[in-house]
Amino acid sequence: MSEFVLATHGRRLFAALLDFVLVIVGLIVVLATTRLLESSEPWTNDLSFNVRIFAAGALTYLILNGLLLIYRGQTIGKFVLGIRIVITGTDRRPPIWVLVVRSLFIPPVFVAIMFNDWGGTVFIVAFVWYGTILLKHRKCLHDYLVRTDVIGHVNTKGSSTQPV
Amino acid sequence: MFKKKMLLKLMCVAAALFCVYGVAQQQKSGHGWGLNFQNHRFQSNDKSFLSSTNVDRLKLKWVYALGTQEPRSYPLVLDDRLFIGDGNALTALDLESGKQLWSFDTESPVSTAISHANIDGEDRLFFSARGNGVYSISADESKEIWFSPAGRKSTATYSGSPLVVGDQIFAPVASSEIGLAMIPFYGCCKDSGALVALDIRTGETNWHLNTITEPAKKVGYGFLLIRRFAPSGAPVWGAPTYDSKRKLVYFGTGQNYSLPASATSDAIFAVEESTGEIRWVTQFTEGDAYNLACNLSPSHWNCPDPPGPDVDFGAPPILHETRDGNEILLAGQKSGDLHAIDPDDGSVLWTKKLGRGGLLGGVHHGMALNPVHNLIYVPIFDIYTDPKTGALPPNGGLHAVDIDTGEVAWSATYDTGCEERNCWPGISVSPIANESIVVVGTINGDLLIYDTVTGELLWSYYTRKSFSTVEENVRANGGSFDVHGALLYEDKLIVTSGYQNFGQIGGNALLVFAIDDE
Repeated sequence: MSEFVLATHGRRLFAALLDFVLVIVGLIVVLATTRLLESSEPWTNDLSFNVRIFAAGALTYLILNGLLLIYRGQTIGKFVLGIRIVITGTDRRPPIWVLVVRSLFIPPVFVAIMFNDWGGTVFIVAFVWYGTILLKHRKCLHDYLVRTDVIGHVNTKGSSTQPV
Repeated sequence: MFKKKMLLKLMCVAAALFCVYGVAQQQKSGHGWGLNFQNHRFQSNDKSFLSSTNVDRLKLKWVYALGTQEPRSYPLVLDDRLFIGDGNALTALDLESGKQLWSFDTESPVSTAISHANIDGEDRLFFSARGNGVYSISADESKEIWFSPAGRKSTATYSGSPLVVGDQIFAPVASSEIGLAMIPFYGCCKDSGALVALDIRTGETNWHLNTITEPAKKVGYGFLLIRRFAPSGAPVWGAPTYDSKRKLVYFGTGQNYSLPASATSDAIFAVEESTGEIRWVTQFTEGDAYNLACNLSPSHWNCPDPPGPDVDFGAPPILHETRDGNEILLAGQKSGDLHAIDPDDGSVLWTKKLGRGGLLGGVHHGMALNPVHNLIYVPIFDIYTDPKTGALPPNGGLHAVDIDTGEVAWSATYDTGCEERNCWPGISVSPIANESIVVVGTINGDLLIYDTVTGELLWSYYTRKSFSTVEENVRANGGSFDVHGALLYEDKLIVTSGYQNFGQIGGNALLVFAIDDE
């Protein structure tokens, strides 16, 4: 019987920070090559700006993490820190649509909030969204929504711990 | 013989009637920024009773707290009401008490002088809001008559005051690309400034003249694959000037925003009133391309290489005539130069260097002319701005120049006590004059009145302090004097104190001074 060991707070945090830095760098390159913000229109129309930033953020995330997510349920940060996304209660990679919703929807929302300078709103939203990781099940709000966990390794009964 | 005499008499009567009509044309509308079509910024004795002999009795009558620390509107007085832009609103106040009568909301800050015209028996007000366009509202009911984006492109900025002439309004248009250029992902730059003629009754566009007619093309790459475009810029920052004899509208332009530069930046235009067709354009500084990306770093991808001196014509040109009857167009530039131009063909009659110039140097917002003494009052700011400041020593202050000779009649500099950024002694604000006094203010909040002929300082009032206002428990604070300056009306001097753009001192005090009869 297998026991799934949830990833530690530290590993999740550092994986997230690494992913954040990589996405920012990647976003800059994507914006500069796709010219999504080159014209005046997004700078004078909030909706246009948000749509373009969302699209650029999604594209950046896919370019950086798409293959790893599909084949291993990992982002670059999670790969480096040795943790991965699984269906709750299993060690199986979630369906791709789950990974898409989980990964593409949430981060651009935060980017849009920050770029729109909604003041302290982003911190409140972040606290609510990620604060639940401090609870027993170590799930963020998106983990609850799509029924995923992030695990560090799998303990198989009767054998030594096997890293993922 | 009798018939000839009769015909001659009839012709004289007709000519007199025509002149009266022309004067009436002016009198039935209030002329916004310049107080008349020629932008003299001069109040005649029947409109301003302040003089060098009574200015010592000038006392603060009331203070109104505006809702912005960056008031950028020039007041209009109509009958017993005072109208002024107050942030995202136009506010009507009782002239004697300062009590608010009504407020009309706009979508962006009211940034210009307010003009008035009586249309079909109704008093109407005309002004621009910086971010979205030109408004016409009822002066009595705070009701919008029409709104025009004036052929708006998404980057249009409405900073210059519209001018009402007959059935038309001439609205200057600038471009916010000067600031968008700071963004490395932005493809600087494509848009140009413009002058737009609107129908006074409907706001429909009669004609639209771009200051750069050549469409912008790709000229290279900035950050990675972000493209750069040119020509662009040549914004119209100041109010236009109307020549009723030649049926021309004159206005000045600013610098280009990208290279290669155009032939119409840092220029004075003369265009046909009815069609917008260009009669002549005279450029005074070639190759001037600058934007705010250069303030971040001269190496910024969107900063033109080499960056130009940024010496716009921000001040409206002034039309007058010399003592021997020759008409002359006077234009002050941020380079610190005062140019005298022949309005017939745009040729330069003379140029007088008054200041070192720079990004915020030279003549910044406006000048005033005294037709009685044929003197033009030229404020020079000349504050040091890195990286672009003229090489000469600063010459900040107010300078009176004889328009016949171009010689300086007098110069005045007020000692603010320091030369730091927020108390620099140069004058950025537009002056206003009547026959015997001229009014300016400093960045340090000193309101100053000089004798128009001698330049003697007659009166000063320090406004960087807190004021009680007409509203109970509401206070206002004074700050820098900049942009439009004071209005002289009957026994009153009306001025806003405070302007925190470009590092000046913010404030929200609308100050009304009056002669103390006691």
